Amino acid sequence: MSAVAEDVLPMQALWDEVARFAAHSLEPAVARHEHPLTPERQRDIRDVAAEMGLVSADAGDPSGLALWECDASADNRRLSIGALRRLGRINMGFAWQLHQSALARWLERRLRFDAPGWNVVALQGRYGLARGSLSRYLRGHAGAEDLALLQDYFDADSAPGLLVHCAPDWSGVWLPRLGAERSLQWQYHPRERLRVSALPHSHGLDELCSYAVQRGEADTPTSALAPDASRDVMTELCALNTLGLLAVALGGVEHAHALALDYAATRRQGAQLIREHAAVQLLLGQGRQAIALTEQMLDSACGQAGDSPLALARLYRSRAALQPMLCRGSSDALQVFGGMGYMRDTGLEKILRDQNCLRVIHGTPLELQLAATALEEDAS
Amino acid sequence: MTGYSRAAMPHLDGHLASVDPLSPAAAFTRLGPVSRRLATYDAVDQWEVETRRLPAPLQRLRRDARAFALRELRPLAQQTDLAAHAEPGQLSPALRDLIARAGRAGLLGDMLPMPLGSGRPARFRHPIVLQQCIRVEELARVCGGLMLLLSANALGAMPILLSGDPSAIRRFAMPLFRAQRRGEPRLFAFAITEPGAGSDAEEGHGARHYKPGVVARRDGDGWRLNGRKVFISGGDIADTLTVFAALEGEGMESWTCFIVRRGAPGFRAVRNELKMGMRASTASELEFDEVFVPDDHIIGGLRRGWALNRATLNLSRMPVGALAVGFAQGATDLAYDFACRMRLGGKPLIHFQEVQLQLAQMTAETSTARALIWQSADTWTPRQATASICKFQATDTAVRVAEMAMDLLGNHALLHANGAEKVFRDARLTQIFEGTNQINRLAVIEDFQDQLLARSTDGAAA
Ligand SMILES: Cc1cc2nc3c(=O)[nH]c(=O)nc-3n(C[C@H](O)[C@H](O)[C@H](O)COP(=O)(O)OP(=O)(O)OC[C@H]3O[C@@H](n4cnc5c(N)ncnc54)[C@H](O)[C@@H]3O)c2cc1C
Repeated sequence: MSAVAEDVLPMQALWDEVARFAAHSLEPAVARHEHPLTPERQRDIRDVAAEMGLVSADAGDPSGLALWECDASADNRRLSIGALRRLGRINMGFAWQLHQSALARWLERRLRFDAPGWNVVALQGRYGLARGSLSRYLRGHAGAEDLALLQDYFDADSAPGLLVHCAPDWSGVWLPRLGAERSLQWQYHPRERLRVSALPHSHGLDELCSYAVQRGEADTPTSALAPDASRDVMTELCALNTLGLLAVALGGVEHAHALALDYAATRRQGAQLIREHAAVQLLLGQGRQAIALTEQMLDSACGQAGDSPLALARLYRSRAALQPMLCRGSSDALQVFGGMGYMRDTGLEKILRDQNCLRVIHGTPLELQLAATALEEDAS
Repeated sequence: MTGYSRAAMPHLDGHLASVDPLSPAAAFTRLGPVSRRLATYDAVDQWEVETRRLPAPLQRLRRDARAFALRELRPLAQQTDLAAHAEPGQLSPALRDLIARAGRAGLLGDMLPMPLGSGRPARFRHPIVLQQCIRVEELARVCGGLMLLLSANALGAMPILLSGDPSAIRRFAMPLFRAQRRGEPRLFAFAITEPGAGSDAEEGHGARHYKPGVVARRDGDGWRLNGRKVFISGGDIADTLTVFAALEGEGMESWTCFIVRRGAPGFRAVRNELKMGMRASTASELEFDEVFVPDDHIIGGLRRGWALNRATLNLSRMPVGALAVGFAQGATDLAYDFACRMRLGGKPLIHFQEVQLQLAQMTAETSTARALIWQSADTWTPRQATASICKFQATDTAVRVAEMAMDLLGNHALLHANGAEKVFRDARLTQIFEGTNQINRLAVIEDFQDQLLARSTDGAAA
């Protein structure tokens, strides 16, 4: 992909290119759902994605075409969402991984820090979304109790550390730290300087692995963001992450829905094709509804100006409502398959597991509601 | 003034310590003896409260089942879930041992009272289905896969018992029950599903139009079975299978229940499925290639298979509801443990109101489902609508509660070691097998059909 001026992207052509990449490079590698992508194969495919410019190789000059490269551009957001959605249709774990590394690049650009390799941002602290404390911090209203809670929430010094879910060959992690000025700063930790425990066997996203990471002994350079800038960075990261999660999940449910439609058009039970049964139509309807509403929401989010706390609250509320629908749509697609849906080879059960993962990462529906309420406090 | 310091006493945020005079626990102690019979506080958990409501023999059954599950299933649960799927017919030494222990403990043959089976006679003042529900819930609470490994056995034996034929019970059920009691790892399995008939094997309207896939051809003083069954729980390791087949040239109304023994010439397990959950139990594809079954291995008589199948499902769908309650309880218990263990901002999560609300909801949903099952199962003749309601209502509850547990654990739910994700994977099956929940909903209406037709304006239009 070559660089193009902002806001005049040939969107459809770029998405087609992503779809071609997904079909040619990714799909053959993940066609056997019961065999997770090997780390080596995954690295090769990721390299192809990097060559295409889907993720930028470094934090230098943006091409405007990589995922989440121009945070303020509606077109780049639309491009990123469309690309993640197309990748998610083929494999949610891979799409999620590219999204995470693009977030890390985004942060590196903001901090003007070039970290080598494939990195992730530990955006989520020890548990949930820190109740309302993180939201109040983002609004600049954090009290002493909130700050104490955030200190603990982002504590990566003591066991068990923070959880990250990423490809096994990650290079480093960006860890947040509540600095002396009571603002969140970022530290890049190369893997070898962290204390890392692999926590095998995650529920889904089989391509990835879960790790508990703790800061090592060594001193690491820390960002020196002014309080306002630090809040902006975190707000934008949370917003982009929310969009990314929904885009990948949307791709997943589209995949499940397409599989279910095909199956319902060939399987006969009850004296007819099962798609003729109202019961099956209702199951398929759940997927369709989840797709339509998520598509609408993502579309309108791209047009939204900036990432204020209030905008983040709207995203959180949407995600709180949509993520369970995306799970339900995938689960109902599985149900269309009857017993076959429960078997690993059909791929439906994997999509459902992946959707479940995306529902609980970076805030469950309940936590998102609480966080949104705190983001909206005093805003009327 | 009361000499009691509020701050010092242990309490959850937003609640008073139980010794506070305003807490019911303390306040009730000041009531007179008559009032205390109506308003009392007992510091036991919900499980204990509900157990104490049961008649003594069933209380004992529940306590024994829980003890067995904790002692024998828990140590195997996580590792078995992670182990590679077994090749057809392979049973790991640990699972073989588990089946033996369950048999010796009397868990496998307890559909009949001793000495016919292994159930304690005192229990049989209460319906068999209620006993099954109580037992299976406790096993499922600890591990779905191991529960299914042990409990698909009861499903397989059910057509024999339901046939009411003393000779069949004496020849096929009792010897196996005795062997199980001796610690031999021998099980029953139940085989109705075919590649072309899942729902069609569970509801008559579809069955009427289905061309049977497993067919029995007359051969001398017996029958030759040909065709395939799929998804049969424990079908590859079972000693004795109740296999349903149509008679050659006839439709599903000719369905007949045949006893097929492991090792019978022409019978083999072709493959085991790779499943989302319930991984300790196999789901096998079975091939019947000219398998000979003598006449005296027919259960309940020729063309009685459909009736036996439907009666078996009526008896087994309540226990399926019950095992789903076990999943909901397991998920709830894991969520409570996590909330008491995981700390944020210096205190365990259980102090946070949103966590308390979520846990209370999970407890309520689980108890409500259990109440439905216990009330419905307290009958010797389960009715189709009631059995199906138990099945779909409780299994939908189980999946919802498992999701709530995952939500409560947040991203920690993704870790296998925390247990909640396994409950979800196991529970998800219950919405599919024993008739999908869609088919079970339709079974409710089928059961009321005549009354509904009588009420409808064009009753004759059927
Ligand atoms: C792990 C596992 C263990 C099992 N164990 C056993 C066992 O031990 N013994 C055994 O015999 N079977 C067993 N089964 C089979 C199980 O009972 C069937 O899978 C189940 O009845 C659904 O049938 P199916 O898979 O063919 O789905 P289908 O019948 O093909 O259903 C596909 C979809 O169509 C819908 N549908 C079908 N017909 C109708 C209709 N008439 N009206 C409206 N909607 C309809 C269904 O609800 C479903 O959503 C097991 C299955 C699994 C997955």
